[in-house]
Amino acid sequence: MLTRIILALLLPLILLALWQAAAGAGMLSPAYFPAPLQTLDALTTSVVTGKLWGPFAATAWRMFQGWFAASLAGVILGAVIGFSRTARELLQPTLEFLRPFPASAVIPAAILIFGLSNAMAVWVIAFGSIWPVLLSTLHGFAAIEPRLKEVSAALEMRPVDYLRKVALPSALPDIFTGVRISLSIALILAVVVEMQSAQPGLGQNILLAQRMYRSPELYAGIVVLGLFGLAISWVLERVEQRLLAWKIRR
Amino acid sequence: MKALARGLILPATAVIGWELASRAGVLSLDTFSRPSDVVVAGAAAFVDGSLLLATLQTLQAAAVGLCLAIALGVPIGMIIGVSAATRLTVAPTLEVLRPVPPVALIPLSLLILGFGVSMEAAVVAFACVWSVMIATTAAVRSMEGRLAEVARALEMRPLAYMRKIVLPAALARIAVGVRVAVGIALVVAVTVEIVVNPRGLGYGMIIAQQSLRPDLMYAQLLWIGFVGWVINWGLLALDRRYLSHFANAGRR
Amino acid sequence: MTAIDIRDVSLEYGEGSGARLILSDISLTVRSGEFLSVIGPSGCGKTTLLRLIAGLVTPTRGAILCGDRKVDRPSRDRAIVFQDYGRALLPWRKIWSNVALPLEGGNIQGAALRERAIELLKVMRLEAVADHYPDQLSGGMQQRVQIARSLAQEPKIWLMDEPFGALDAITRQQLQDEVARLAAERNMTVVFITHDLEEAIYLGDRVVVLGAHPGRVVEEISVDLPKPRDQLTTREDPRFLAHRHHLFGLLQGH
Repeated sequence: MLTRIILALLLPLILLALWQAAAGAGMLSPAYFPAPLQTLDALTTSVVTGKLWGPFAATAWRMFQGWFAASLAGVILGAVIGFSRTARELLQPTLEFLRPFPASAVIPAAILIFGLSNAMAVWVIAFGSIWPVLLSTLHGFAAIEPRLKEVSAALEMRPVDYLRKVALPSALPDIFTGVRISLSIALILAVVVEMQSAQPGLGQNILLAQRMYRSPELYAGIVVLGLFGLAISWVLERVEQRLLAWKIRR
Repeated sequence: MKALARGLILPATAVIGWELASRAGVLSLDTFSRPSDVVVAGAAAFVDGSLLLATLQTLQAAAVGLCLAIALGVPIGMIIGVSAATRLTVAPTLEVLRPVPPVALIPLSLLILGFGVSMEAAVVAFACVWSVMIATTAAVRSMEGRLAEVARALEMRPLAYMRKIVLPAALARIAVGVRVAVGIALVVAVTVEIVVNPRGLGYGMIIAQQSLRPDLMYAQLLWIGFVGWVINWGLLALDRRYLSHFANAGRR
Repeated sequence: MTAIDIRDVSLEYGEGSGARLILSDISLTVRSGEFLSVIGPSGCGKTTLLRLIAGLVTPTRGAILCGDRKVDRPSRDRAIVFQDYGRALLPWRKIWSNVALPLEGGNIQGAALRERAIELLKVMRLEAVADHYPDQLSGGMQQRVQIARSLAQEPKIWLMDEPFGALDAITRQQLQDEVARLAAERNMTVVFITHDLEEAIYLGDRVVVLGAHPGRVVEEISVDLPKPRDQLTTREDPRFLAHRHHLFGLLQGH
C-alpha cells in the first residue's frame, strides 16, 4: 500500500519540482505559469485569511440546490415514465430532443426570465443535471426483472409494496449512477453560471483572477475546484458502496 | 406514425399555448417572444448566413478539440492498458485530474492562448480526453490474453504489437468512447463561447440576449438543440449499423 | 374433491391472421392432494399451461377453476416455483429475508419474522446460509431457497415449472425426494412441469403428456407405484419401466 502511494506521488512531485526549477530559472513566464510554490502560497493565504470560504460555500450550496432539485424531479419523473406507457409515448420524443441539449445554452434564456439571480443559477443547474438521473431512473424501472414482477403478482403484493420492496431496490443501482453523474454536471454548471453571469463563487473568482492577471490565484482556484470535484466523487463512491453492498460485491 | 403524432402533442400544445398567451398579453414580449417571431428571426439569420457561420465556428472548435482528445487519449490509454508500471505511476495522477471540472480551465486557457479557436479547442480536449482514454484502457485490458501470447510467440516488437494486435482489437470499444466524447465536445464548445469566447453559436446567443433580441436568442437556442439532436441521431445511427456489432465481436 | 378444473382452455397469441394457437382445447382436472406431472416436447406450451393455472396469463377461450373460483389473476393460494431461480430471488435481500417476503404484512413481525423464516430454512436445510446473499449460493441451494419461500406463503397448490431442469443429477434427485415428502406432509396439490420423463413418472400420481403445435393433451396415465417412492427401488420397478417404455414411445412419436 505504502509503495503504491509513493509510486503514485512520484510523477506529480517530479513534474512540480521541474516546474518550480524552471520558473526559478526564469524559463517560464510568471504571468502564464507561476511557480507551484507561488500558487501554494496564494492558496494558503486564501485559506488563512478566510477569503476562500465565502465563494466556496456559495458554489457548493448553489450546486447542491440545483442537484437536489434535479435528482428529486428526475427520479419521480423517471419512475412515472418508466411505469406508464402513456407518459412514455407523450414525453419520450420531447425528452429525446432535450437530452443532448447543451445545458449552458439555456443561461441567456434563464437570465431573461429570472434575471441575474441565484434562482436563475439554480434553475440552470437543475435543468442541466436532471438528464442523467431521469434517464437512468427510467432505465432502472424499465429493466426490472420480469420474473420478479411475476413473483410479486403471485404474492398479491399491493402496488405500494411492489414499489417499495421490488421496483425501488431493483432500480437503485441505476438511479445512483445517474445521481452521481448529475452531481459532477451540477458542479460544472455552477462554475459556468458564476463565470457567465457574475454570481459570487469560485467560478467568478478564477475568471476575475484571470482578468487581473493574478495567475497564482487563478491556479489556486483551479486546484480548489479540482479537489472539490475529487472529494465529491470520493464521498459518493463510499455512499454507493454502503448502499449497494449486494451489487458491488459481485 | 401514431407514436410520432402522440410525441408531438406535448411540444405542439406548448408552442400554441405560448403563442396564444403572448398574443393575449399574458407573457411579456421582452422575456418570451412569440414563437412566430422566433421563426421569422431564425429564418432571417439562416438566410443571411450568420447562423451557419456561427454553427461552423462552433463545430470547428469542437472537432479540433475532439481530434486533440483522440490524439492524446488513445496512445495514453493504450500505454496504461498494456503496462502495469504506468498504471502504478501515471494513472493515479490522471485519476486526480479527471474530476477537475473542465470549465475551471476556461480562464487558464484564455490566459495562455487568448481568444479564438485554440483556447476553445483546448478546453474541449480536456473535457473529452477522459472518455477516450478510459475506453481505450478498458478495451486494451479486456483484450484476450491469447492474442498477447500469439504476439510473444512471433517475437513482435512492442511498436508492431501495438499497431498490429492491440489497436485493431481495441478499435471497436475505443469508437464507443469517442462516440461519448462527441456529445461532450459540442456541449463544452458552446459553453466556452457563452462564458468568454467571442465566436460561434454560444456567443451569438449572448449577444442576442444583451442586445434585447429575445426572438433571435430563442431561435439560436432551438437551433443549438437541433444541431445537438442531429449529431446525436447520426451517432446512434452509426452505432446501430457498425459499433454494436463490432463491440460484441471484439469482446468475444 | 377437485382442486383445479381446466375446462376447454385455448390460448392464442396475436390477433387476426397473425394469431398463433399455443394451447388448444385443454381439459384437465387435478384432485385435491394429487401430484400431477406434465411432460411434453419443447414448444408444447407446458410452461404456458402452468402460467395459466397461476393466473399470470388469461386464456383466450375456456376457463380454469380452483375450488369454485375462476382464476383471473394470481393468488397466494397458488405458489409458483420458477425454473430460473437466479432471477426469481431478490438479489439485494439476504436468504432469510427472501424467505420472509411472503410473510411480510401478515401478523408476524420483527424478530418473529426472521425466526419463522429460519424455521422454513431449516426444513430445506439452509439455516447455515440465512445471512448470505443469493448469488453466494450454488444453483441447487438457490432453488431450495425459492422452495422455502413458496412454503412461506402456505399454498394449497404448488405450481412447479421445471424446477430442477438446470441442476446436476445428484442435486436433482435429492430435491425430488424433498418435494415429494413436503407435498405429502402438507397435503398440497402439485402441478409439476418437466421435460424429464423419469422425473415425471417418479414424482407423479398421474402423468399428462402434451403434444406440440398446438399444445394439446395427448395422453393421461395413472402411475400405480407405491408411495413413498425410492430412488433405487422405484426406478427399478417393472411398472416404472413399463410406464417409461409407453411414454417414451409417445414422446418419440411427436
